[in-house]
Amino acid sequence: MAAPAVRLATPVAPDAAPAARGVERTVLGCLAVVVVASTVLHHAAPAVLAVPPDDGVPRSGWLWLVAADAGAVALAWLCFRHARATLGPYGATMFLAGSFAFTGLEETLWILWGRFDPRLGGTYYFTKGFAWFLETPVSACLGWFFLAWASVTVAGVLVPRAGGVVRAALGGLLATDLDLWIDPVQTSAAHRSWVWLAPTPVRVLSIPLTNFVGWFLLVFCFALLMDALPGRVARHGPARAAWWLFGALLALEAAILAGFVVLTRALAAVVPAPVNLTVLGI
Amino acid sequence: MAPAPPPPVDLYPVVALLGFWLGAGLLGAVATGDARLIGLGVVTLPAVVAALLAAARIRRARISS
Repeated sequence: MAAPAVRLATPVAPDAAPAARGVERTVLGCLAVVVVASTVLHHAAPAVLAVPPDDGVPRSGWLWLVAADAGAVALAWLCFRHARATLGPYGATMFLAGSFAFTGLEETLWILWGRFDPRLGGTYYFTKGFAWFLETPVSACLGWFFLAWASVTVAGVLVPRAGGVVRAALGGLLATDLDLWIDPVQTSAAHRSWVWLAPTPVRVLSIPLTNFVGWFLLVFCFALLMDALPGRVARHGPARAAWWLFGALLALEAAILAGFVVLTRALAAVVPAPVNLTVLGI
Repeated sequence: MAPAPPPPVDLYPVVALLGFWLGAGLLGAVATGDARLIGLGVVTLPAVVAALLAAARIRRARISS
């Protein structure tokens, strides 16, 4: 028998369930409100969140910003279309909105923590984006969404008989592997799509180690939570399952951020001088 | 288990992954003009091979179904 082309979770909720449709509309509506408010705040009142100026950032004009957002939307649409066909509209919506809540909120907290807490000495910030979700560009949230979905899907195709943990781990490794190249390229002087500030004790390819740890952990944990969602929906209905998902994502975010602080301090204590593991001198 | 999406939707995640690799990675690296950054793309070989392998399996599953 041929291996199934896609091995993911069961469809999360029957397509026609009115309760599921209501939850989808509410979640997407909240997402749209946050994006519109964040975008207006970022561009019209940058002083509120002390947004650093974009002076000298290459390709940061309006047309470039809109074009980059459009590219991210196009790739995200491909994965959303696939997610709808695989999980149904409710599951696809939860994966998309969960991606924003998980990575967008986590990045924003890390960015603002570094910006306003002098003890951290700055973490990083994004320079480009037309639409924003809090202090994270929508293109970055969409990028995380389609990379997470694509990586876990590819993993599911490659190891169709493996359990959810193996699939999630392989998906996390694939996404992290891609970021090993994307991050050095996009933070180079020619792009400066985001800027690393913190003098972290261990860097890989001049990028803080926590970035790559974060990529793996976020994709891995998110895939496991999404695997558990169908069971929650079956037991408690789509609305309570959505509350559970977003609550679990927030709790995980807090744990991962705390873990970053502990890891950074532990590395600083163990490593006498900052280390940069380079390839080709990068 | 979820049924496989119909073609060509079943290949969309692979297209998205490779499209991102091409746009943000390869074209981005070429735009820097730094040969070292272009060469660093070798580290993504596992992800690219995995995506191509997945595309081949999806295609094979299509033919056999």
